[in-house]
Amino acid sequence: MTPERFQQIEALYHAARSKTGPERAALLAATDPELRQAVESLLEQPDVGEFLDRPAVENAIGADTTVTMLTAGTRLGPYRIERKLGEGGMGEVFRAVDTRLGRAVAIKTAHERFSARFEREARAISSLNHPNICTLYDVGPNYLVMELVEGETIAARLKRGPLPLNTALLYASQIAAALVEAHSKSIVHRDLKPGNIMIAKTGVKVLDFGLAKSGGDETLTASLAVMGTPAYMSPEQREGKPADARSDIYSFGCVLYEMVTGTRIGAQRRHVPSRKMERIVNRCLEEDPGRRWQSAAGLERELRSVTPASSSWKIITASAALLAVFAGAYLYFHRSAKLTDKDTVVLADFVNKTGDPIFDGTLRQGLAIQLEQSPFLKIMDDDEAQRVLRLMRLPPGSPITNQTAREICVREGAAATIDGMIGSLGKNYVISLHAVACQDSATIAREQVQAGDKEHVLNALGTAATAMRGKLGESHNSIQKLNRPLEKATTSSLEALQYYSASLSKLSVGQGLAAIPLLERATAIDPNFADAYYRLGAAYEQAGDMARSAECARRAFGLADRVSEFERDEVTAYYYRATGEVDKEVDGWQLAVRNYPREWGFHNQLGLIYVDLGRYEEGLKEGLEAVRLRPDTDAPYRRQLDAYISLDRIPEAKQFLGILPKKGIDGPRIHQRFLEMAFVEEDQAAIDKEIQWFAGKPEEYLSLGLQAAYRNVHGRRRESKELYRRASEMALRRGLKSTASEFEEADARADALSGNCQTARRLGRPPSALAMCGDEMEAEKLAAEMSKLTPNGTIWNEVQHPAIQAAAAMYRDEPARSVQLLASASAYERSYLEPVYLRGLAYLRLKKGGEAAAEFQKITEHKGESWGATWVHPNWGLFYSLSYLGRARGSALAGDTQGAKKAFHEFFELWKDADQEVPVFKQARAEYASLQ
Amino acid sequence: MHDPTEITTLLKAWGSGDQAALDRLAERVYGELRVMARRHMKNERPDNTLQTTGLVHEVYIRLVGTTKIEWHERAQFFAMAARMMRRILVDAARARMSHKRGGLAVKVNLDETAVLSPGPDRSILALDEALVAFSQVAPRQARVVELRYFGGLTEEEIVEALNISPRTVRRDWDLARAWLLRELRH
Repeated sequence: MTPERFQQIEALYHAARSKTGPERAALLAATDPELRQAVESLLEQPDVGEFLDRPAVENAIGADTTVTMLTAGTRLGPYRIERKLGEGGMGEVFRAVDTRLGRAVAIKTAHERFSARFEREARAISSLNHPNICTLYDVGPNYLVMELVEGETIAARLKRGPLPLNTALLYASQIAAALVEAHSKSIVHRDLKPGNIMIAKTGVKVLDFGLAKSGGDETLTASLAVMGTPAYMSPEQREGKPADARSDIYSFGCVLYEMVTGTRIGAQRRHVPSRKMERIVNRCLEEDPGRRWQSAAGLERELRSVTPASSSWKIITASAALLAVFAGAYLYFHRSAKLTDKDTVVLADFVNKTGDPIFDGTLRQGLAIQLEQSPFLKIMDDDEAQRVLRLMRLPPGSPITNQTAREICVREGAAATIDGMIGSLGKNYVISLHAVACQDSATIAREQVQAGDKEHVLNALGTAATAMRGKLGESHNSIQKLNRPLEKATTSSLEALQYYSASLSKLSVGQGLAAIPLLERATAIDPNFADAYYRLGAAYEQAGDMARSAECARRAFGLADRVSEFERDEVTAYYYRATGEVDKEVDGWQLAVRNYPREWGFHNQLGLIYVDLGRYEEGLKEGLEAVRLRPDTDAPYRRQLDAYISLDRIPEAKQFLGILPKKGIDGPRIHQRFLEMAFVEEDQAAIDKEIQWFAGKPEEYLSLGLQAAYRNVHGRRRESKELYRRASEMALRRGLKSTASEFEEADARADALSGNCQTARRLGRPPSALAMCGDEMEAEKLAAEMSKLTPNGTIWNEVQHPAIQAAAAMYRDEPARSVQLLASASAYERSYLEPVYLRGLAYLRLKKGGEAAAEFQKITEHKGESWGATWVHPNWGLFYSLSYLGRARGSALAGDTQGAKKAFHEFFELWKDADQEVPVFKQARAEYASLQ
Repeated sequence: MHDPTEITTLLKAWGSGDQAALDRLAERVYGELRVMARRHMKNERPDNTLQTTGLVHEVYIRLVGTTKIEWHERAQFFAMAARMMRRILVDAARARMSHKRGGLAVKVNLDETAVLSPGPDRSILALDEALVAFSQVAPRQARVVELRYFGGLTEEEIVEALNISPRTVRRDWDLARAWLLRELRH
């Protein structure tokens, strides 16, 4: 090659690299074919994961120590190599034993280390759990650990001729089911072919999901360097475009064709023995992906509609059943992935044959804690089980016998029950666990362990539960990552565990107060019982004792390394909720959601903090996910309602008016949102209806507080004051001291905002109102106390305290200082309106009319935000209406008389029935008059 | 013990065109690097390896220490050390080859239906050969590979050593990388 030629290639290569898609194609199309081919071959090279990206010396090490030297008996991490099964493009395949579980596995090795990205993607693939997918258990630095599937590939089987139609159909629907599962997790196979599908005793298993390199892009394992197989590749893949679900459907069509005809698809098509099947094949093989089935689910449905030739079908199913019987013993140990991560498990009470009451309740609780750590298994919540018991007309707290558990399981569409038994054998104890499928009562897994004495029972139970997780199909990675020995996860004291589990049954029926003494006992017996502190904190919070609650949260957090992963995530996030460190709280719930994506409570908590912080879109997303996971409880609906209201998406919020009561979700916290919606829309009929709903109920104070805020919007301070007084009294009667004082403070603040300082001075609170009124010393004294209580509270330090200081600075006539102080609040101003309002006032003082109007407009333009979380800040009604006045003043300052008049009119329209003597109102009228 | 002043004197002499100084310098660097590289390669657990840019920089510390030398001289040192590193690794690979009777094992492909793109030949020897060929048409680009891949130099160090812009370093690497991967796949 000449240097000139090289320069041409170089120039075109860089030009093409800077373009994508059609532009790149157009550029290349315009050059001579030889040059173009040279550049295309360069552009095809993967961008990441190649050995050149690591220094040579590291590859040299790899060359000396690759697992190509693995022989029988060598250890690879926890795996003991037994023998080589074969070699493939990527490396070698071995049969090995996972020494931790005694489970046989297959290990595929690669010639070099995986890239970090490949490891990440492989981890995603390892989340696939499906009877027709070969499970990826573990990912090592340069090897993959997979379910060992014994049998032959469809490719090998087809060498002996085509499959009978019914068998082909059976396999086809199993392959389609595997695709449905993988595609639901956005994992595309990319290289589906007869050689990748094993015929195992339990059905077919698709191998190597997502492990093939895709055409031109760098999506996956460049390091594996195995391209898809052209004969089965979709046209788009052959063109080097990224593969999607529809590409797999094309490959599926090729496989189906080959199964029924015995020949690989080619230009000359053979006769497909069923017309319906032929239509399916043809649609899968459409050149244009848009004309194929768009999802594997559609394909699966269509396959179901193909009726097999009846007689032989029966023989197939009968022989399959027969096989299942014979294979019983084999399946018992070998059928892994019995459950998928969409399944729920119901725990039955332990059968206690020891005669020692200490084991009553405790072992079931211990088992639940141990299994809850698994992100794979979903253990049915106790309160959900209680709800089903009610439906079954059994008294609350009834024992959940094996029979009851099975009935709950069937009613709720859960997958399996786990029951346990403890008996004594001389001095020893024997614990056995038994997992049973609800549909056919077939045993899925059984586990038995012994403990030498009573002290080691919990330990043994933990071991048994861990082994059970593996047998139920959870991947090793996951077990290893999230597994803490039971005696560490909870307590080593059976007695403490006994009080603890008794308290949980109180908590699950909403008797928080009754749970407190039980939990106090549990923590007295074992002062290191972290989870008991955590529950105690929650119980105190329910009872309104925030100081004790925070203390318990602190104790629990201090012991967080003693709890299970599951509890640790919760304890940690909860602790930061108590300290007010919102970023850490968000991180905490995010981590919890990542570790346990199926736990609705974590999504709900994350949604709650997002909404609190004004991150409504994210809050909405979490609320939707929480409802999807748990549609029968009210909290996640509240997240959605708050988000919709705050985002001014009232029509969507209003849909719930019809839906929720029908679902039996109808509590005061839901009607509080309904009332807020009615206020946003000023829909008098709806307002009356919701106020009526609250009338006479213990939670009527909620409605009174909101009505007071609504009066503020309209400048009717006198009525508002009276409503706040009633709300406060009622809350106090219910023992809600802090709620009561919040109402008092809201009233004082509303007065201060309207130019009346008497209320705040008489009350001596809240600091923000005192600061506005010039009582800076007093305000700072109160603020210092708050700072002591929540020294690290983000909202306090960045929003509330600066707002107090800014109000004081304004009073001292230092508005520029106010603006400065309020800067830190900007990040939270969607949900905290006070700093926005104060900043507007400061700009007015600075004679910056335009800037002032812009601040006030933030508030008037988002009416929903003034209501969507009103409960936390019961004075927002006033910020909303006064912001119209602020806009009018800002516009007037900026010389925009028209704009000023318009805003004045809007303000007067809102305040048409306002109290005439409110100072700010008098002032507004005077200013308006001078504008004329 | 090493005498840093000896090294810096050699570096300066080389900078002013003394080829003999370069030879002596190279000898010292080669000796040091080889010892370190061997120790490094014997380490059987890749997880325990030094940080990626380790060896050449480690040699620099050992030989020059904290003695102040010109930034440009330092870059020259690294560039030379990278070349030495390449030699060491290629020599080591040759030695390994001669130990394995019959050279690389032939891979058996069990699944006939698969079309395996052969995957690049990852041996250092093959890369070295490809790089030699590449340097015939693109000498500067080949140098960038030597500095980065064999020497573990950072972008800034390459900028300094070759006196080209950071953008050129990135573009050269990009192209050379694709080029070599393609050659190795053939």
